Amino acid sequence: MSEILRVENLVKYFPVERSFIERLLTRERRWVHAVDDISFTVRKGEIFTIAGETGCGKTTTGRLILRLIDPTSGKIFFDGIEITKLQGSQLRALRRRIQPIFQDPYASLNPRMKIGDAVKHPLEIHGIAEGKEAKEMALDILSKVGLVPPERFYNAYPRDLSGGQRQRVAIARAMILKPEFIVADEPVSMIDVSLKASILKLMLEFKKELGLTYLFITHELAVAKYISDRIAVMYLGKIVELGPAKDIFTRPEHPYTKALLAAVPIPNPKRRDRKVLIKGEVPPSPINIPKGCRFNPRCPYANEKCRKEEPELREISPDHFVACHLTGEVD
Amino acid sequence: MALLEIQDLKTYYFLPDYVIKAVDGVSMKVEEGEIVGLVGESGSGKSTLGLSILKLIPAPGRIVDGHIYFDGLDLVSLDEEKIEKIRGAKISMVFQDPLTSLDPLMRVGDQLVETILAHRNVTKEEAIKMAKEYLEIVGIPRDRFYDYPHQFSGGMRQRAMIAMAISTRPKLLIADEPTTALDVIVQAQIMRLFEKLRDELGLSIILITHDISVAMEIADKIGVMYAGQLVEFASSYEIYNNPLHPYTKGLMEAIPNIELEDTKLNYIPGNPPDLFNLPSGCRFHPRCNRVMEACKSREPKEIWKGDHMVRCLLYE
Repeated sequence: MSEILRVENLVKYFPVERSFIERLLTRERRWVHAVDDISFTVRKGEIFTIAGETGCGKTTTGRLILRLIDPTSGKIFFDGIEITKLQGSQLRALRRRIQPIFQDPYASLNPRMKIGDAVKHPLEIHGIAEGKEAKEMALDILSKVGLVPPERFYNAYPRDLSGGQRQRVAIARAMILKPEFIVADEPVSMIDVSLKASILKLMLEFKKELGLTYLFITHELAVAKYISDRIAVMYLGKIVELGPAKDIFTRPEHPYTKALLAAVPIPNPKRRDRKVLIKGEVPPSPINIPKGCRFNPRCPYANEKCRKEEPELREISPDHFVACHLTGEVD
Repeated sequence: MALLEIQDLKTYYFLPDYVIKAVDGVSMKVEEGEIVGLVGESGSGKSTLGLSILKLIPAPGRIVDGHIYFDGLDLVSLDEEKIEKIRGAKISMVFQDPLTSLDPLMRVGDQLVETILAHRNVTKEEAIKMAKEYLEIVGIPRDRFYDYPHQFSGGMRQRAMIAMAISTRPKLLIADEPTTALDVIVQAQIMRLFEKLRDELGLSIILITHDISVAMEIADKIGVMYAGQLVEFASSYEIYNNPLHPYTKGLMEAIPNIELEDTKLNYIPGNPPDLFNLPSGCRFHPRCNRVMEACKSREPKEIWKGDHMVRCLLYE
C-alpha cells in the first residue's frame, strides 16, 4: 500500500496563560507540550487509529493534520505535497480532499441552519454545484447516510433530530465532497451503545465506495479493535507504541499499552479477576513532562535508565514499534 | 427485608404541552451490601429513577405514584423535613462531574470536615481525624487534606466526592455515571474502590451507567432500563449467560468487547423513543427483531422467573 499521509517530527506547544502578577515578575513562559515530536505514515485505504487518554495529544494531532491549527515545528505531507504551510486557495483545495467528522453532533451543526442547507453548504463553498444540482446531490447523500425519506430531513432543523441522526448529517456533509481522507475525532463516543455500530458501519460503507482513508481518533479501545488496521497509542504527546491492530491487542509491548488494555471494562462478569496494573493518572495538563521516559513515574518496571533517557520508537517485529527501554525484558 | 424496595414507581415531568413519563412503573429491590447496576441509554429514565429515591426531582417533575421503602419508611410519603434526615445521612449520592459538586474556594479537607460535623455528633478535632481517615479509605494521601479542588485530578476529585458521600455512614450510595468523565484506567481504579466499600463497609450501591460493560465489572445484579421501564432485572451472571429480553440481547451484541476475536458488531435498528410520544403496546416493539402482532397493542407485564424478571410478551 502506498502512503497518503506522512507526519515528520510534528510538535505543537500551547502557551500557558500567565496571571498579571506572573507577567510583572517576568516569570518564564510555560508551555503545554500537547504533541511532542511524533512521526508516522498513513497508508492509502487503511484505517489508522490514534488511541489514548485525555491530554495525550490525539485531538491536537488531528487538528494539525486538518490544518485547523499550525504546528510549532515539523512537517505534514499529504499525497507527496507538504501541506504544513499551505495558504489561501491551495489550502481550500486541500480541505476538499481532507474532511473532518467530530465527536459532538450537537455542537458541529448550526442550530439555525436547515439540514439540507448545512449538507449542501460545502458544495457552494468549493464551487462544485449550486441551486437545483446542489439540492439533488444533498438529497442523494442524505439517503445514502440512511436519513430517509431525504426530503423530510432536508427541511428539518438539527433540533428535530436525535444524536445518531445528527452524526449521520455530519457524515453526509463530510462525504458530499467525495474526499480522500477523513479525520474522525471520536465520531461514536457520544452515540448510544445500541447505535454505535450503525454509525461505524456507515463509515465503512463510504470507505469502500470512495476508497477512503481514515485517521480515527478515539479513547475507546474496544471500538478501535473493531475497525482499525493499525493503531498508534499516545501518551503525554508521544507515540509509545505503533503497530498492526492485531499485534497491539494480542501482543502489546509497552507497559502503558498493557495497562490501558487491562483497564478496559469487559462485558463478562466472569472476567472480574483482572488487576489494575498501574497507579495514578495522566496529569491534567502536560506542562511538566517527566524526565527520561515520560511514563516512568507510573511504570511498575521503571529503572535508572528510564528516569534519565527518553526511549526512541524502534521496530521490534515487522511493522510493530515500541518506545520502551525494557522491551522484551518484562512480561 | 430488602434495604430498598421500589414498587411501581412513576415519576413524570409535566410540561405545558405534554407529559414526559421518565419513570413509568418501575419495581426493584436492593439488598444490604449489594451493588445493583442500572443500565440504560440516554433518555431511558435511569437518572430520574436515582433522583426519585432521594426525592430530588426538579420541577416540573414529581413522583405521581408508587412506593419507595427504605429502612421501613415509605420515602414517597415523607415530608421534606424528614427526607432531609435521610438524604446525605442514610442515602448518599455521587454524580458524574465532581467539579460541579465541590466548592472551588474551600479546601477539600474542610469540605469533608463540614459534612462530618453536619451529620455526626463529634468535635471538630475528631472530625478532622475522621476526614483524614476517609481520605485514606478512598485512596487519597492524608497530606492532600489541605489542597483545593483545582489541585486535584479528575479521578482524585471523584474519590473526594466518594469520601464525602461515605463519611456520613450511609447504608446506600447512589452513583450516577461516576466514571463517565474519567479515563479508562482511573475508571477501573474507582470501580475497585466501590467493590472495597461494599466488601469492607457493607455498603449497598446503585450504579447508574450507560455502559453495561462497567456494570458487568462489579454489579451483583443488573437492571436494564428502556423508555422509562425496567425491562429486565437479574444477577449479572444471569444477564450475561441468559439474557431474556430482546433489547438486552441486542445490547449485549452491540457492545464492543475487547476480548472477542470476532470483529462483527451488531446494532439495534431505529432510535430510542421520545418519552412524551411512546409507541403503543410494548415500548420496544418498533425496534424489536422478535416482534409479534400482540406486541403492538398489549403492554407487557413484569414476569418473574425465580429471581429473573423480564417484561416481554414472549414470556407471558
